[in-house]
Amino acid sequence: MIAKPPGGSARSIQDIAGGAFLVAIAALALYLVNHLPASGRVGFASGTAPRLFAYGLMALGAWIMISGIFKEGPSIGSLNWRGLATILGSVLIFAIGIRVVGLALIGVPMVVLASLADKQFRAVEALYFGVGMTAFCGLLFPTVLGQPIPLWPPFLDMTPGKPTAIIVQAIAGGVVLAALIYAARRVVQSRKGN
Amino acid sequence: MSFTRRLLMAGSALLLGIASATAQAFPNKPITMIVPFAAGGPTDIIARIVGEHMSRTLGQTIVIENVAGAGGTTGITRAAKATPDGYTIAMGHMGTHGAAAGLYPNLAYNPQTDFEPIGLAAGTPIVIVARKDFPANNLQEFIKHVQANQKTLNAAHAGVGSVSHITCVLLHSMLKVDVNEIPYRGTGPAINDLVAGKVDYVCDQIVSVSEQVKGGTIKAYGIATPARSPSLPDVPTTTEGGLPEFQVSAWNAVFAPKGTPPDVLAKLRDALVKAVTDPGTRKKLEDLGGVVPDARGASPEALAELVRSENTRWVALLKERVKQ
Amino acid sequence: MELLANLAHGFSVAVTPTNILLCLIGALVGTLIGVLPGIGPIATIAMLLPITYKLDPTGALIMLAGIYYGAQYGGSTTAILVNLPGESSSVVTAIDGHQMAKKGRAGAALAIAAIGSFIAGTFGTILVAALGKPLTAVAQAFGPADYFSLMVLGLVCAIVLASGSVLKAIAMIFLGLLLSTIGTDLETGEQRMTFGFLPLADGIEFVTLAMGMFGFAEILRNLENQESRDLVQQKVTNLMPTKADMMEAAPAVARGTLLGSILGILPGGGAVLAAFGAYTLEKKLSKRPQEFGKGAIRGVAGPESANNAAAQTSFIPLLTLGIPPNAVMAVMVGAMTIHGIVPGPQIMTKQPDLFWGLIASMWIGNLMLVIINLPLVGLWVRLLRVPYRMLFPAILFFCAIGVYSINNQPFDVVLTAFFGLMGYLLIKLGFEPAPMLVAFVLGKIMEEKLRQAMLLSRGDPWTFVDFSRHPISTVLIVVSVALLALAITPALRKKRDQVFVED
Repeated sequence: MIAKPPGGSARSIQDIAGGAFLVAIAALALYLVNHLPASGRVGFASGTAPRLFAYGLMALGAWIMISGIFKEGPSIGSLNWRGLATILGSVLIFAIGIRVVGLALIGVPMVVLASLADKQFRAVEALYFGVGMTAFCGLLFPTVLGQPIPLWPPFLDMTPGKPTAIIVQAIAGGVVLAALIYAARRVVQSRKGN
Repeated sequence: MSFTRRLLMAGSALLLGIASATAQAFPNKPITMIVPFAAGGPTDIIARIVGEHMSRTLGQTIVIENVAGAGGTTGITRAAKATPDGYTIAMGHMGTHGAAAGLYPNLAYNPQTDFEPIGLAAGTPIVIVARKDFPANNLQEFIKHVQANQKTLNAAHAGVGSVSHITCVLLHSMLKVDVNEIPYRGTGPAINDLVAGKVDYVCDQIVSVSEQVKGGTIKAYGIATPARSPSLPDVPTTTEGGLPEFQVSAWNAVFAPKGTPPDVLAKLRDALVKAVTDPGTRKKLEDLGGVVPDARGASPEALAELVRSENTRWVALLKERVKQ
Repeated sequence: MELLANLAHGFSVAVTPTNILLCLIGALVGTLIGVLPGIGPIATIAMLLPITYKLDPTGALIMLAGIYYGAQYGGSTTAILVNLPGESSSVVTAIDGHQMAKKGRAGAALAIAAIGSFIAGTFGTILVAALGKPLTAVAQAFGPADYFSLMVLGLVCAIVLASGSVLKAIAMIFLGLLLSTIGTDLETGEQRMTFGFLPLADGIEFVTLAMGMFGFAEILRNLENQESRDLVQQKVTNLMPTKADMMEAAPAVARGTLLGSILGILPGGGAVLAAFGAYTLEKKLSKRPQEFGKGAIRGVAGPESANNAAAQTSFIPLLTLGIPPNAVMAVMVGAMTIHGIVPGPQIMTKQPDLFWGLIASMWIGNLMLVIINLPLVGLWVRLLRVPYRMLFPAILFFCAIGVYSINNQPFDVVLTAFFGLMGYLLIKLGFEPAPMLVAFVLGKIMEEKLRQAMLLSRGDPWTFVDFSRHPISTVLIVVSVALLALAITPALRKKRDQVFVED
């Protein structure tokens, strides 16, 4: 729910900003399709539809913006910068890391960074939850379903039987086991607590 | 169990692992085959059938990785840049290794120099099909009708750069006509409108249209390969029909990135030849209307030559007939 | 009575203990994978295909049927529970379904969706069996011009999707249309708004846009709003719908089934149009339209029934013509082809075992869906009690994997983050994402059909209202104009009251 602006401003800041945002998007689109023909042999060409839609969006955006100047309305409210940075950051980390270091190494940083978006962040819990999620997805997608998602870092030789494979898999197994034991103990403790 | 015993066991397991690893040569882990199209299409199906047999020969799974986009060039770009160790191979086809250089001016790979050819897997012949009430009874009449009515007829294709598009362009250039080419998003919608009679004719792979031809909802004028196809035995070839220069088959072939070691290539080539000469695999591919090469046709030399000739043919044609 | 004999034959082919078990496993696995956020029905089916490879064709087909329905329903479950539509037709389910979940009525929403889907599925199956051939003729009557006009009508209906300002809804429709034009031009191959960047050449994937705009933006909003996120968790009331709920939903199920059955026949956008056509219809017919968008049970029952009825009748073009009408069906055809089954116009006469067996499997698949999902409702609802601080990182993680797995391209994941940012800003500025997403889906088809119609008519813009050549198109355009006039006039009059639309 968005609060009315204090003091009852005679402007809808939300509409003014929203309209301006749409006008900006439309302007960018028009700039990008500038090199495409606006009409062709049969009337429609590659640039016709994008232009029509962009003009429409621009007109509507302008309408929303101008009508916002003359009306009362809500303000935008504060933006959740912490959430934006951590959530979008975690997704970007995943995108960058998935083919560079693989799911096994990118899973925990991603989950922990995403968890930081919440003000109730609990570091240890996020850590073992991240390990659990990574183990679950690592088993499900590349292993059980045979999806071509890189699991291990591509720079390691994970040929079955090779020492690197045995060591890395042993470490991974140990970490998962430790996380599971820790989580189980936490659950038991919280049950006792109640 | 005492700590020392556990340590000993772990140590011996590690040693055994090292020993077995050095004894194992290529391949000792799953191989990824990049298919540059979505799951379910002709190239994907051929890759899955051939890949399944190859994995039996190699003793390792072949994982199909569908990397679709930009007429297949996205996936092939990734294959070209992959580590050349034989664990990443790709199923290229007529578009990605033939026509692409004429369609995409900024193509990020060179079809002729960035790959080691493994061999041809299977081709699917192109067939000319028209709506069922099209006023022509054979290929000759079809040609005359198209040439006489080029202002009013409509050909459909599955989108710029698709097999049906470039073969249609080839047909039109051979017939010296300028017929309206209506683009669709994929073969399905194009054939749908052909069956409904909204457009007049389509050139496409036999696997996409053979059932409709057999069911009489569309009619076929010619198959663009030297021999008739077992999946449509009643349809004459373009040679029989009097347009012998129209020879096109949508070929699919396996490639490895440039620099893959020769012994690895040899194993992959051997597995491919075993796959395409296996009676069971051949039957599966032929049932789909595929033309499966013999051992010589599946050789890397034959593929290298095919890529060369196809590049020459398509690049010149598409630069002339398709505006970019 | 021939129909009954044929159906009996079909059941004799399909109903063996092994096949039933395969169908059950297929539906269960399809649901379990399909319910993961970010993994839509197409991805689910593609991932699960290999498990059918080792089976005989009939067994494989019946398992595929199970996977198909399981994946579809799994997608609706995610839409209701966490507001994440995995495919275009569940965008509408998310609107009221998730609002019901927020009111503690996730169980009722899921159960109504399952029951409605089963009824619609049964009706759709009978329709496919009895009237497959004549209905094909209906679909074939639609040419590019008629399709374009149908999409125009669809967009006019999309305005109704908005529960807030009509002006802002229209703006979102234009934004969706604009986004749909990104990518390679269909006719000339020119790059449009791609910055010359290859991964954008095929345009934006629906899942990428939906995960960002709906999923990520929703998480961001929940995080700053303690009350709304705890709403979902604390007030889980009864799991099953009450008798009053059933009475309320029944007419919506019936209408949705009919509408879905008809629109499902049309290749391309049939299922999407069905789902939100049903929503529009329910909202217009309702005595309390103001409840829509705030958890109206009819807003779930109608679209879900329509969606599933369309999922049945979209088999018609496949079975009578051998042409897959949409992306999901194309994957299904690929699977069948690998088993040596190439569907075509002769399948009914030449392979009656297969044809009637498939129809029987369709119904069994629907039955399995209800059998599996009614007990699972309890489990899904319990999932909502997972603390939100753990639920949302899990959603993000699954979404990232799901989006990556569409084309195995990391860039798609980056794009999702971008749309998450954009979606969050739009919500903050008082815009709703649903009309935009629907316009995005329809826009692609609309431009394609428009360009085809213009090419076919050699550039005559009046072709769409040329009654002698395109009667269907003409009627649809007239209806659209009339509806638009009706929708806009009161909006203009009431605009002042709608400025303070509550979020």
